[in-house]
Amino acid sequence: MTPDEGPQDTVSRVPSKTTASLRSPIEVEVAERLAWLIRLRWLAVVGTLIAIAVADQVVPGTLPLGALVATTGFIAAYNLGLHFIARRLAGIPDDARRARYARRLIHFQVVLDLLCLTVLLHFAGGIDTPFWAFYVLHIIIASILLSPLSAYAYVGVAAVFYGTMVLLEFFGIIPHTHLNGMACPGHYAQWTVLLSTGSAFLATLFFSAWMATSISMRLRARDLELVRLNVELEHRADELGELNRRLQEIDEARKRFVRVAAHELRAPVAAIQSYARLILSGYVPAERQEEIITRVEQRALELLDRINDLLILSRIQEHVEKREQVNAAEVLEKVVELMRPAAEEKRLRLHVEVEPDLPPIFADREQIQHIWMNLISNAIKYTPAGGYIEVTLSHRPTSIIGSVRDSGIGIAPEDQEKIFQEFYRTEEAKQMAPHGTGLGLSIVKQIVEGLGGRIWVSSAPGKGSKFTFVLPRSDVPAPAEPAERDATDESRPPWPGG
Amino acid sequence: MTQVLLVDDDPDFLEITRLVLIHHGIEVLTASNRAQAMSILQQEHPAVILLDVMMTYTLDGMDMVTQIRRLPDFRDTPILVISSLRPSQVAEMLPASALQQIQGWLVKPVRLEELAQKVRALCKE
Repeated sequence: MTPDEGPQDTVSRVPSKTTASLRSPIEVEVAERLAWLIRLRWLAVVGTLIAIAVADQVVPGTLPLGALVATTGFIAAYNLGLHFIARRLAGIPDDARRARYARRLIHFQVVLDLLCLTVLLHFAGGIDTPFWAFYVLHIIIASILLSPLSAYAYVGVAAVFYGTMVLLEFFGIIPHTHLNGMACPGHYAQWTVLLSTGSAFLATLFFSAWMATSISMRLRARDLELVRLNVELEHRADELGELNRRLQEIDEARKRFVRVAAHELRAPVAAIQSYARLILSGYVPAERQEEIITRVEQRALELLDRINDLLILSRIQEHVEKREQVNAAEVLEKVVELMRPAAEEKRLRLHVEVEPDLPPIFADREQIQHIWMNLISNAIKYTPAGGYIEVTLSHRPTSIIGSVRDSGIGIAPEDQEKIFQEFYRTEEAKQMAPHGTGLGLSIVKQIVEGLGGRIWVSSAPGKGSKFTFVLPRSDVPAPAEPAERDATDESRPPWPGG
Repeated sequence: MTQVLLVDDDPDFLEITRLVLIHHGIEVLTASNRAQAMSILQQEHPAVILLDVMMTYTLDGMDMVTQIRRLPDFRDTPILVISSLRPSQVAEMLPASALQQIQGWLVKPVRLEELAQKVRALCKE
């Protein structure tokens, strides 16, 4: 047995990872009980001296007073030493270390106490004195403060000490102190006395240890369970706190979105109403009225576009059920067919390059269409006449990669993340196309991310932009990470000569 | 002729307000963003500044109010905020002192007569 193995046994029995580092309150108590034991010993010293004095009055000249007082003095001396050691121990800040030292010190005291008790009993009448019951006190202390193994070990130690003493007296190797009036002369040298007292001694000590350890073990387990539950509760409270913080963030984002959406929906309505009032109040000369009504129509169309985009945005998550095997190249072909007239109208060269044998993706066809339409229509909108748009579609081992590159106005670095936020439009974009929903790129980003992919932009003001998105292939298992960003592609300048 | 500065990122609102104010004999300088507005304030001295406070994703118009108030020539120039949202709808984004720095808040769509009256009254101040 090692003195330190006791209470840890209890800890390791609790089936939880987190409890491995937990310490039962009893362990903390060990350190505190050290001082209590020392105080108890002072009482024992005083009590012993009083008992010696009383015994000397009751049976004068019988007891070896010198030896008894010297043994008691020895107890007092080591108790004084323990008192100073305990004070130093109290200064150790680390709970675990303090408890470890305190436990060792308790083992040391128990052994010394048992030894001194045996010596006192020898001088106070050996087997004739009933004070062997004091051994029980030590066994109970060991059972409560140390491990069950220690308690039973101390039953053994006490038995060896007491047994050695009575046997040495029995065989006359050491002298026996006879207590006049308490036992018949020669009582100590009878086999029957030796056997009956020895049995009573062993049984009392063993059952004391058994009862005390079983009660204390149950209490310790309960203490430890309480500590474990407390730690678990704190952990849960932290988790709930974190969840609450995230919910607040989401709520904050929702509020901000509603606020911005309200602003963006009201703006065209306010313009339409103001234009109408302007005409009705006679602020607009007749020759400008047609121009103003055309603006009213444009703002109404803008409002419709914005509402449509908001609806698309709100339904992105609902499209999971509509997913199927989609050939992104086919979708691209149809979109390009639709967009080509607008590009030609601005004299933009629209070049499409699709890798042959493109693997399928698992997605909603309509959403893939939204991705291409938004990216290509943006490229047409923000590229000055005579420019160039290049659309590519290729594949990698686990993903397909699409890109739309233009020779348009470009995007300043500080705006490159913001353009994916709802309603955000750069100053340059507003100047080039005063009215836009500001939702196209956030729709694209949410669709791409909803499909487990990624989208990014590389651009510089005046040097065009390149939007690249990566989507996972449906014919191979998904990689551990979401679709990898094509780093090599990123390192290329966004536009030839850019 | 009294001159005012109108700052809004909505070109239609610039046009509408301009038409109304011109009708009431007020000259209108227009800017569609903060940089343009600050550049105009370097050269001109409008009697009133009309400002949309939510020109982008944030209340950057309110930041602009603070910026204008730092210019020695415009510490006391009346500023009239015109926004699609009421102050109560953007309360959590408005600093406590923000409303003390402005002289009025109109909500779009603005009643044109009220706008003209308000601007005229502020010009007289």
